[in-house]
Amino acid sequence: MNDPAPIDLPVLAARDYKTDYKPVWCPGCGDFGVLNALSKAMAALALAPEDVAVIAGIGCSSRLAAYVNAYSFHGVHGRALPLAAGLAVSRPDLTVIAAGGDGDGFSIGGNHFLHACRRNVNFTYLVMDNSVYGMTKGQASPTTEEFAAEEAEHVRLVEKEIARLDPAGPTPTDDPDPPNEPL
Amino acid sequence: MLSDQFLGQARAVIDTPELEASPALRKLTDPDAPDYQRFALTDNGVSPMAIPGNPGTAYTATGLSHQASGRPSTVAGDHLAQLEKRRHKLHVHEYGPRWADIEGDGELAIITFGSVTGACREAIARLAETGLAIRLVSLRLLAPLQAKALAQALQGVKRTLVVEQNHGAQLYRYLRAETDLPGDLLSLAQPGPLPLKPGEIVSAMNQLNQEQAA
Repeated sequence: MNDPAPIDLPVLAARDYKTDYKPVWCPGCGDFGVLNALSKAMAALALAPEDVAVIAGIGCSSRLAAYVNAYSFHGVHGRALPLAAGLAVSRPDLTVIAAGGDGDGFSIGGNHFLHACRRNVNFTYLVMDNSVYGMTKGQASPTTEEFAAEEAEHVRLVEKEIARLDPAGPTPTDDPDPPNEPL
Repeated sequence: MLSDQFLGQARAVIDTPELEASPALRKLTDPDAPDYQRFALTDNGVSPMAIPGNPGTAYTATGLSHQASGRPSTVAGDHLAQLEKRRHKLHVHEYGPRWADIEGDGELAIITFGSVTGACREAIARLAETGLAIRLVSLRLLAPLQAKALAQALQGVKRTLVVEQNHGAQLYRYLRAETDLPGDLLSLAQPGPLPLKPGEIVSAMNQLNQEQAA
């Protein structure tokens, strides 16, 4: 019998994929759930932390980068996607995860979002969409609903929220009752 | 005539230019380096970099103020330490002779930078025909200013014209703030969109030379 020699692989739990940094997020923030889900997913896939790169933008949710035990970049508002795409193209051996919020992804980095979809480079993009600019205290974001903004900001929002972008989903004309007419 | 339109639309076959190797140092860290600190304070300000895939040295690169480890920090001392590290790194770096293009000799000098350099060279050629020898210092590195090397390049100079294309004479003011230029000075600063003409530089140099000689 040729039994293969046992290999001593470290087994990491979900908590091993988190750093010991205390998140700056407010109590009850949904970003905690994203961090938990992400670290569980990394554990389930048994990814080596050094082979994971988390590329984030700027904003509350983008702080995620510092809370994940991996190589992470937290630096330029709205520019997580081109960085992630470049990294994924040049280092296909890495698991690349881009992360950010709705303002970072659909406003400041809106154009990058379209081109990331078009290029379809192999990485994962997590958008923590809370429909508001949270870090700067509640300005309307591209996904803020029309009337919610009036309540939050006491000003009239002159633009509609962007249509939910779903490259794989139905086009607006397929939906008999589209939630948003494209501007 | 090298107009923007010509440069933008012309086609030319050229040999690959030979570029000098970059003298910048980038040290990589070892796998599982103990107590790895991505932004460690070092003598020359350069700290070893860990690249993704290197085990045991994962770190966060953040635009937030951070500790030497990369950990975000709101402590003023951490902020200052990293500011100092970055400044120190730039100041002790050995830039070599590429900080400026230095040409010619004489007691008259032109200091400039960037695309105005071509017009300055042409002006210097015209002035040479009238018997004036002009030294040219075209800065390639603006900051940190290589003040000692600049003083050496200007040794023996009695009159200096600072030529630049902007409305606020930014280079002239920057040089005056950072160092003492020798002798008499004149600033020729002109905004775009029209490029500086060699004739204008010749006039300014003649003005400086005659005013001071009078």
